[in-house]
Amino acid sequence: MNAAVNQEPYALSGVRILLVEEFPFMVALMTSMLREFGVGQVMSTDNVQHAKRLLVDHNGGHRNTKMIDILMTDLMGPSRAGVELVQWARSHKKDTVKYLPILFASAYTSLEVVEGARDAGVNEILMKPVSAEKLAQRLLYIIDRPRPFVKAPGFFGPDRRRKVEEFKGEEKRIRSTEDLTVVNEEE
Amino acid sequence: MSEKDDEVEIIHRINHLKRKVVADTKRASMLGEGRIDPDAIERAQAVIDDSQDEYLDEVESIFGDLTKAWSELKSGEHQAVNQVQVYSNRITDLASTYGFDLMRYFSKSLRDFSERIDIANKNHITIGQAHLDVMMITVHEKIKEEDAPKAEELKAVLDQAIKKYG
Repeated sequence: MNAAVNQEPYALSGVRILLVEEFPFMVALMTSMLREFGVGQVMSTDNVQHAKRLLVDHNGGHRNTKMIDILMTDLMGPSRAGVELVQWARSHKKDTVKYLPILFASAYTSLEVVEGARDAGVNEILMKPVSAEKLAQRLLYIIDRPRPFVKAPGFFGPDRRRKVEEFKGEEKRIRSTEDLTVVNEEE
Repeated sequence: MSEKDDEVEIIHRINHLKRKVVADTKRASMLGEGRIDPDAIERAQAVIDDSQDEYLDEVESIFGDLTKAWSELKSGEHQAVNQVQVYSNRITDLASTYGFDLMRYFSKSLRDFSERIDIANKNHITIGQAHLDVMMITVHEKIKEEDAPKAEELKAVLDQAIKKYG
C-alpha cells in the first residue's frame, strides 16, 4: 500500500519540547528557532535534576495534553549529565518517560560522545553548529521515522541502526527466532 | 546467563507524536513523511543570521570568564579545569554557529586539551596559555576566517608551542 502524500506542513502548535541546555545564549537561540517552526511550548532548564522533576510532573501520569513530547538535551559539560539524563529516562517505570523521543544536541563531535549518547538511548543526534535546516530535519526524523525500541541484554532504546530497509543477511545479534519477541503497542 | 537474559524484544510503538501534528489523526499512520513549513525554516534561519551581531559581545564576555577560570587553574584550583572546558566549549559552539572558523579552531583545541591537562605540569600550563594568547588576539582583532594572513601566523604560534611543550 502506498502511503498517502502528506501535503500540509505539520502543525506543531500542540507540541511541547523540553530543552536541557546550560548555555543561556543557545537556549534563547534554539527557543526562538523552535517557535518559528510553530512549536507550541518550549520549556527549558539548565539543570538535569530539574529536568527530571519536570518530566515526572508532566509525563508521570496518564497520557494527557500537558505532556512533554520531545526531550532535547545537550551533553551538559564535562560531567556529561545529559547522557545520564537519557539513561534515567530510558530506565523509568512510566512508559510516557521511558519511550520519550530524545534529541541529543552537542558541540562535542567525537566518536566516543556520539556512541555514548546512542548507547544511552537517544533517538537522534544533532551535531552543532545548529542550522534551521538541520534542526528541522532532526525533528522530522523523530516524527516520521520513529525507530522501534529494542530491549536486549545491556541495552534499551531506539534501534541503533539508521536504515530501516529489510535486512537480507543473517541476523547475527539474535541467536534464534526463539530469542526474539516482537511487541506492537495496542491502541 | 539464563535463557531469559538472551532475549531480544523489539517494540513497535504507536506514533503519538505524528498523530499530534497532522490534521487527520485517524489516518496518521497511513500518511507518508511530512514537512515543516519551508517559510518557517527560513524564518528560523533568519533568527541565527540576525543574531550574528551579538557574537562579538557574547564571545568577549565568555572569553572574560575563561580568562578568570584560567587564572584560577594556574593557581592550582582543580575545579577550574571544568570551567575552562565549559567556557571553551561555549566559544566553540558560538564560533561554529556564526562561522568564526579561527576562533572555533582555537577554542576546540583548548577544550580538547583541557580534557587531559595536568595542572601541575608547567609545560601544560604554557600550552594552555598559548591558547589564551592567540584567542585574545583573535577576539580583539575580530579575525573570522581560518585562512586569513594573520590567522596562519597565530595558528603557527600555537602549533609551535604545542610541538615544543607537548
